[in-house]
Amino acid sequence: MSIEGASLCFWLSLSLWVIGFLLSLCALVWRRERLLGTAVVFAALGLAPLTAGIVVRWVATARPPFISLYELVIASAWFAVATYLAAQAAWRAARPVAVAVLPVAFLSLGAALTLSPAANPLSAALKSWWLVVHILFALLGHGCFALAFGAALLLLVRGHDARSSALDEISSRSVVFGFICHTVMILSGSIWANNAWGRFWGWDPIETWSLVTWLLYGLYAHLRLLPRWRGRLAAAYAIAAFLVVVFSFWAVPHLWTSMHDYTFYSR
Amino acid sequence: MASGTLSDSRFHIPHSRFQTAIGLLCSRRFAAVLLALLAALCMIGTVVPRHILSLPFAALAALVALSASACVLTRARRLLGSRIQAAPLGSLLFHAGLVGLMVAGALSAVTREEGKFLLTEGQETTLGNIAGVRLRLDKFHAVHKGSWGTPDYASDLAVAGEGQEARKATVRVNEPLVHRGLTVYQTLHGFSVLLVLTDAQGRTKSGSWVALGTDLKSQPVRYRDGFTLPGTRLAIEAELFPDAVVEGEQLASRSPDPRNPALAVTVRDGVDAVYRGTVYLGKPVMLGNDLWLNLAGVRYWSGFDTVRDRGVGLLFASAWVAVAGLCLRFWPRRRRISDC
Repeated sequence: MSIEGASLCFWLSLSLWVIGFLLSLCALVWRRERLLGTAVVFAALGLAPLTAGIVVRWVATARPPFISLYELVIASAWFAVATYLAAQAAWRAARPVAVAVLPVAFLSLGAALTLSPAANPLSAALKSWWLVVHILFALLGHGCFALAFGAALLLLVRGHDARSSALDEISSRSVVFGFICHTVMILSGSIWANNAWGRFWGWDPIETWSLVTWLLYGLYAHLRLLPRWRGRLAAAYAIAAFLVVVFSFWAVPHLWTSMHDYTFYSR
Repeated sequence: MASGTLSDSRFHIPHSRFQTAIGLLCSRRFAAVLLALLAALCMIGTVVPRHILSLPFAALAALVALSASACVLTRARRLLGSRIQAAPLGSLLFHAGLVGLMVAGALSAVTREEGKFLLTEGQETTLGNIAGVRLRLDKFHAVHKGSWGTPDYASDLAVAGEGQEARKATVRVNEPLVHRGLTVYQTLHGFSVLLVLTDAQGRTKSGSWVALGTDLKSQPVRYRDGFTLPGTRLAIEAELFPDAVVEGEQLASRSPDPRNPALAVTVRDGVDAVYRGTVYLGKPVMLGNDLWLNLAGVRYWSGFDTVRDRGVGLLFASAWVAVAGLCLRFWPRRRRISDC
């Protein structure tokens, strides 16, 4: 299979996730638990062609396929759904979160498919295993933040019911795990930058916005310890913080010139 | 100095403004406000010139460090008086790591020394300001498409102190050389040309290596510069084509490897151009006035940055302490999430 074949896999995943989303929506509106189970199956089914597409691209380019914005957005969709699937396997209460996580995933895929799939040559600086650690933890962190966002959104939309405290707990735990991953991402990036360029921090716009994200989730962790910062208030905050994650990931590379500019890797 | 643990009654200070200040510094509300302000300042910093915000940012970061230090002290005091548990210990380690990070950042900002130099193959220089230590570039290697599809650029270096045997090392982008606390990073590379000017009798008027600039913005990369030929009044604008080929009437390069180097030059004596054309390796051209210009050699040059940063070790150690603290603090308690 070629890189073009991999794009077909991505379209297939997108379609399966749209179906999964519609099923989860129906399940929530008509309170049909079985439909929710089918939605989870579609979420898992959608992950299979995406995984195949990523592997094909990895083989075709002979490097980890997490470099260009196209590749990163696709990988972030994979991690969002994989994190959701792991969470719903651990906590049954996380199942309905599909209704918020699947749109994040298929919208990401849709956005990625509007970008150029060209596999540009890389700069010498990118040949480092710190790249793999750095990006793996970044994507894992994003997956957790997407799950936290999904649980928080569901909590806000459904209002106070029997599942509210479970959704609140899922959102909070996801933030905590995402925060740890984000910390490791920043740290591994620092070590790598120090090895490559002799500086561990350069106030590059993407570095700065990843610090903003870290500070905002650090703030969440502090606020959770205060009375009143549970339930709807914490949920609203988790949603706002996730919007900052999306802005950092999607908008910052388009708005500012950056060392992380994904098209500038042919040096 | 009195010895004892922090939980000793000797350390108890009567309620005072100091204690109120410590209480404020340790409070979660205060920490939350500081984090929010720091985040806001970072956001503003991406649109406003950095120097405008550097002072308030430094002040705020210092306050965060102070707050985290107060937090560490009070937590340590509490921990010493009770059975050690993972979560409070994790919190203590995380905040201690944060303080270490900030101290290391400040140390780095104050003590950091930087240098830049470039060496043509065969050339040597003094390394940083380490007396008597010489660094020589033996060979530069360029593989334009290696594994992962990335180019592999490597500099073979020899470092030697006075009367010492040279230590050989190969430096790449992600593999710097560390020598006596000084780290040498490979940055750019390009070509140096040996231009020799002779008169009609073959006597050398000028001859030295000139490093041409590397223009990374153009695709393919171009190697060009303007300079005065050492020891003469001749101003030269030159562009090197490492693997030259004539396409139509234009000179181009088939590859970035120096297989068939040719130099497109414009030579001026004052404002008058005395020569405009191509000089091939080992084939001198006549400039007029019985002067001959010869491209006698082409070699790689490699650019290096040197950094001595006394904060880096503490910085990374503190960062790992902070991560370990985070993991301990949030180690999954076996509390299940109930479905309803």
